[in-house]
Amino acid sequence: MNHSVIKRYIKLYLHFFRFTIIQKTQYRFSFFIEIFIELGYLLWTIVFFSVVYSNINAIAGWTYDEMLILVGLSMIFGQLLIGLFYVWNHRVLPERIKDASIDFTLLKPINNMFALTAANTYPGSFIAAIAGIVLIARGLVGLNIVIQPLNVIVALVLLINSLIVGYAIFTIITSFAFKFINASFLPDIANDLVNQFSGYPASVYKGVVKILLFSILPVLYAASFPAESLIRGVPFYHVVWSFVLAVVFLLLAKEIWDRMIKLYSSASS
Amino acid sequence: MTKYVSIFKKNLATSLEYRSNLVGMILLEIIGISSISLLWISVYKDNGQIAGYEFKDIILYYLLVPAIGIVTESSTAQILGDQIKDGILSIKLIKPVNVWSTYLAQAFASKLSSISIIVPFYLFIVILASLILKIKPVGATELLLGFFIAICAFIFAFLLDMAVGSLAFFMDEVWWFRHLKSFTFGILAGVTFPLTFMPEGIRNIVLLLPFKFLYFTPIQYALGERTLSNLFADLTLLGFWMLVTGVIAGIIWEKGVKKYESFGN
Repeated sequence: MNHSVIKRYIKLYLHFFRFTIIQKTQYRFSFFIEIFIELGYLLWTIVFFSVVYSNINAIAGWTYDEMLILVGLSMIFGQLLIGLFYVWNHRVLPERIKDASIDFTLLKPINNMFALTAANTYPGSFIAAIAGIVLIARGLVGLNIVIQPLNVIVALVLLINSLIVGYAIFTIITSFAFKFINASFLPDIANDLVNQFSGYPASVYKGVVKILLFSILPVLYAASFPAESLIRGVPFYHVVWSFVLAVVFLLLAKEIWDRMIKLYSSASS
Repeated sequence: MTKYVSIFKKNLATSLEYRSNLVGMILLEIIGISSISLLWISVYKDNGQIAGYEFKDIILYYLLVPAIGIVTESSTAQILGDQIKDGILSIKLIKPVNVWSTYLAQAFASKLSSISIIVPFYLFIVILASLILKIKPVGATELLLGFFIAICAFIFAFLLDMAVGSLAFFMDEVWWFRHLKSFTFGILAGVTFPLTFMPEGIRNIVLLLPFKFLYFTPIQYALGERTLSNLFADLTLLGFWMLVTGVIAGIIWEKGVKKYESFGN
């Protein structure tokens, strides 16, 4: 892929994004409800950990303040993933395949994987992601530590690579909707697989599960290792491995998507 | 009565038609239970008992959460909300039927299909987990009591859904109803953790609310933490909340129907 193609897609994405923002600000009540809902889910997570920590001192060696940083990062990861790829892309794809409303999109002179899995954003999530930053700040103040700039960069790199992996997992699982019509649960399964396991410290997992979460479902780089990086730093091989995973998963997603979309036959009138 | 039986039969057939979605539902529950179980394994490694719950108790608790949820959950708020928003309610309003009863028949039909397919699966998992973890298996009487209170709680959930769904008469957006329920129940009904884990002051308030009947109380009965001697007090409190919710739902519905306008063909 050359630079002009990348530039064209960035331009296209920004066009789509601007259109979404215009559309959303037209329906302000809906926009505020979206934010309220996302903050409600954040509250749910905070209450859960507050209640658990009111009974114990640490979970797998993580104190309450450390856990707040992890939850904050998990929140940012989850909300960005949901906002960028899930709500108006993967979540609605099985329904769009079923009623053949993707036909018009397929006729457009743009990459179909981009158009159907990444072109539409859900801005409500980005506001909720800000709440994650507040949580991280609260955790850092509680720990009373000064974070190193290099550790922040490493955390960001791990987070970005995890977003790519998360997107790829969403695409791999949801693309099976081309084969199994009316499989409306596929996006939810992808979302749960990625988000349920990424919100806990890596030290919670042992044995085979831990190996799986490093390789087949590598969600530990989404929040656990970025949090560890902010608190005490992580070995550099984690950064290298997260890059390898991002590339491999993205290529795999593209391959599976291309195979699955060939199975599509429009059923519209 | 015959017409509501027909509505029930029709909706039961529709629910059973989309069995793949039920499979999806089971998979989602398995993912949820797996992740939370792994967390608790780690928590209990350093703690023998938390708020009176041992590790095996908490695992059994989380296994029972989806099984009870199948019985108590209602999706009427979303259906009603969508039908008000799309004007489909008009078709129901002009028919010589009691609209609430049609929704109740529909809810029962959907319930029966999920109960008949998913609950046996969950019970199998609970029994299997009891054997693996060497936990005293859940007794039949306790399970029946839990099931009974869950059915009663379902009526409450239905009334609550009629109240929430009727809000669609006054607003255009209805998609957020299920999210609102999701995190309200997550915290106040005992989905995310047993309510006994809460600090005492907050717990005392939460236990007066009706949401505990949707998960926490039926699970307590199933686990034998509550017995027949608690049933009368629980049913009285639940009955009180059903009455309050029913009255509120009725008021919102009455006002909403007067305001309701439908256009198009």
